[in-house]
Amino acid sequence: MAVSFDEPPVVLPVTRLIDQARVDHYAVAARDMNPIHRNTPEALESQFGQPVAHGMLVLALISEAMTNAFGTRWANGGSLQVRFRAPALVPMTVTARATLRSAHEGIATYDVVCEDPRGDVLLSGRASAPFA
Amino acid sequence: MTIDFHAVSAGDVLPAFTMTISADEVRDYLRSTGEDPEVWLGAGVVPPLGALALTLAALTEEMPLPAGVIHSGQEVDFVQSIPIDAEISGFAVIDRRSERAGVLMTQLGFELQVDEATAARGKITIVMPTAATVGAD
Repeated sequence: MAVSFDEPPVVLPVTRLIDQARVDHYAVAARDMNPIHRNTPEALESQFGQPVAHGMLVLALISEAMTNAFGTRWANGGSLQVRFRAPALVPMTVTARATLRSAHEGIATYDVVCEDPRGDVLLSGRASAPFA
Repeated sequence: MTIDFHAVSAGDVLPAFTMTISADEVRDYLRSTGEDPEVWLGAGVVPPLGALALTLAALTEEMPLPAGVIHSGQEVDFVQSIPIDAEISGFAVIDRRSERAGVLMTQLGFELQVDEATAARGKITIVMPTAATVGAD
């Protein structure tokens, strides 16, 4: 699905429960078996005291939101710049949001954020994609 | 032979790697994240963040990360889509390495190519406290 627009599309939020089952599945699918993400002694003894979700799993919600708006065009000219601000303690319901920042020469740039249910920021940055 | 994370310095080039990403891997990745796989499978294209995730996996196979490493930043340009089952060539270099205030910061630059054309490129920033082990990302 490649789509184009006269104006930058609205990127709708994506909200998802990131529970241990999802983290465990992601660990296998993304080949990241770091014990900090699973119910292991290493996770329980870490500074967080419990498993934390992979940052890339949280970031995947931003990618999904951009895909929902841009289709496969997201993979052809899209870009991401983010910083991971806080760990997503499992389980957590995470919401990815994107707010249009600029549109210039056919490229739409959004301020993006992933938040926990209290609105605390887990990651923030920018995402861009071609829209015209 | 793997690379010792503690022994690398800025300018070091990691060994090139190749990988392919199958439809089954795409489906499994997207089921794990919760995203509808039909957009990508229908187009025969690897979801860009899935390609990035598996790039990280390939890099950490080459250079295992010690406990305490946290993924702190990510930049990536998805230059062109990567077809499912395409052979992907990956290249990475240690862009920056510094230690300050008890934190070791390492930034890796990477590029993925398909048919010798750039498909994605970016920077991965990881940090690790040097005074204590806190877990890894």
